[in-house]
Amino acid sequence: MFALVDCNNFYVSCERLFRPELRDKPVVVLSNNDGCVISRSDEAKTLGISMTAPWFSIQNIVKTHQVAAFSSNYTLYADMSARVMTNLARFTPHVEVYSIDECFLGLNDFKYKDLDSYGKEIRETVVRNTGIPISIGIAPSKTLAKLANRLAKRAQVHVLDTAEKISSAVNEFPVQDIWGIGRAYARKLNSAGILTAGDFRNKPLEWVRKNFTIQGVRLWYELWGRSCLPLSQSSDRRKAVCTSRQFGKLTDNYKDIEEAAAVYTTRLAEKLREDNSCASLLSVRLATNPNRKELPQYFKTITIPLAYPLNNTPDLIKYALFGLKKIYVSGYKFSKVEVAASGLIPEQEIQLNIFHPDPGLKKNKLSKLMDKLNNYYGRGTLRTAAEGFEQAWAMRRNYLSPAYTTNWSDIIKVG
Amino acid sequence: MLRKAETEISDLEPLEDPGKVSGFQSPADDYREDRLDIRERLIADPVNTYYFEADSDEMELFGIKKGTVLIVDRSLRPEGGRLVIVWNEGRWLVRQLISLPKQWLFSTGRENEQLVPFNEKKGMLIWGVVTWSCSPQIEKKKQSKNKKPDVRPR
Repeated sequence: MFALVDCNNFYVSCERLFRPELRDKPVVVLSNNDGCVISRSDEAKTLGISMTAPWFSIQNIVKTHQVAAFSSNYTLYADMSARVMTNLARFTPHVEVYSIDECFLGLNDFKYKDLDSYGKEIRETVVRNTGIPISIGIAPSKTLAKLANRLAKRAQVHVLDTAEKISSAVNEFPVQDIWGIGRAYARKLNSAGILTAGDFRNKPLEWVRKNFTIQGVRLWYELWGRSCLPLSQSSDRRKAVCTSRQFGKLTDNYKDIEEAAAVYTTRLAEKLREDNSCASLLSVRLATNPNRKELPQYFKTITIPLAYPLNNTPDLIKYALFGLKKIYVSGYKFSKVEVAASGLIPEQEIQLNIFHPDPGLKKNKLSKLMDKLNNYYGRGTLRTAAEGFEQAWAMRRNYLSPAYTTNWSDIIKVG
Repeated sequence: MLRKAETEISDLEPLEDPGKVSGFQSPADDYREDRLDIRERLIADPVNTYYFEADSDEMELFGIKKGTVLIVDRSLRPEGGRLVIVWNEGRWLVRQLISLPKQWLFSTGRENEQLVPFNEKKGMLIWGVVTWSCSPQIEKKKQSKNKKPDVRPR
């Protein structure tokens, strides 16, 4: 049996944990740069605020109903997510953290337990320990567990453990809401007269084989309660790493863009070192905002082969700025710079280049020291001068909540 | 994420392994044990531990004064006699929980005080249980507004 644990309105729940007065109030969390709604409370949903609604378009509702809005505080969400996932992992060693707010659990060790009360026990423990509300779907396959989770929202724990329960669930369940069914697939299915998960499951396997790929066949089995998708525990080493963000405002100031590129490269280098990999290719991409059709558009990418695979901050910044200089042209309002590393090689397997005898060992040491200090004192404490001081281009985060759990100066004061 | 141990700051620990010798092998080699780490005493469950800071002397009878750091474990159940973090009408408080047969009350421990009854309907919330309080005993320098330690070698 599998359980799919899902944190309800996760980002909103994180904000509410430290702002209890918002427990029954409409709350939304905005995407990076305060662009659009990416998480909303049930109250906000009732007000008609849709997911991905642009922030400017809901100003009226926000003012009339005093909706609380937050910029996304990923530092806080990452910490709370780690706390939720660790609490879950204490129940079973078979865990697949699927996303920041979802987790599959393998429950085969608990065959003889009453799964409904076990689910409730998991739920109560996590809610008490983290303050984040969760709902749990339990079923014989991952696809059905995901489906059960959708049905759990109100009851909080939903178990599909008999053939009858499964059939009545799938017969009601819209086919486009099944896990892994994309929009194109859904259209194809709908036009074949398949509207519910039950309709799909009732087609003969031969028909599925003929009309769909192996994924369709797996899905068919999964819906019948035969598990085809095992838990995948370790995510593979990343193949490429990319950091980019929209600027807070459009800019044509080369200095601003250069600073932004340096900051993203720094973060990129940190990611590489976390993974113990080195990049052999570095790409820089500069782009205007494609939605501002009235402005002249410019998109350009440059990929730079590095003399030897590396992951130290100063060298990567040097190459990134070199690339940026090559592709920058004045006269455009840029909205975004992107820095990506590819051709990743494990740190221990680097082959030295005969023409570049110094593989930057000193700089590697320096970078590792910077990581340590920044880890302890908070990101950005020690940085290269290229990153600048004012960072006028920085993304908008006008409604950012404190880092309650990761910064000593942000912990809550009590009377 | 949980913070890295203070001892990992390389300014304070310039030697990677102070026990490593180049000449005579240390007679203490077989007897080395990990140095005491205060976190082992203070934090039973790091994943469910949070930190708050007292902003007043209301709870001084419990040794909690302005500036005291409170270690809060959410995995523990509130019980009579324990100190808890309370959300009460728009304010965060630390109080002792007094458990009566049909009622919970919050106290500062002072004599003749008006005990505050726990009322969920008014939006009151018990957020977590205080396990330890840590009070600084050396006066903090005025300039050190950010509560980070000074790690320069003296």
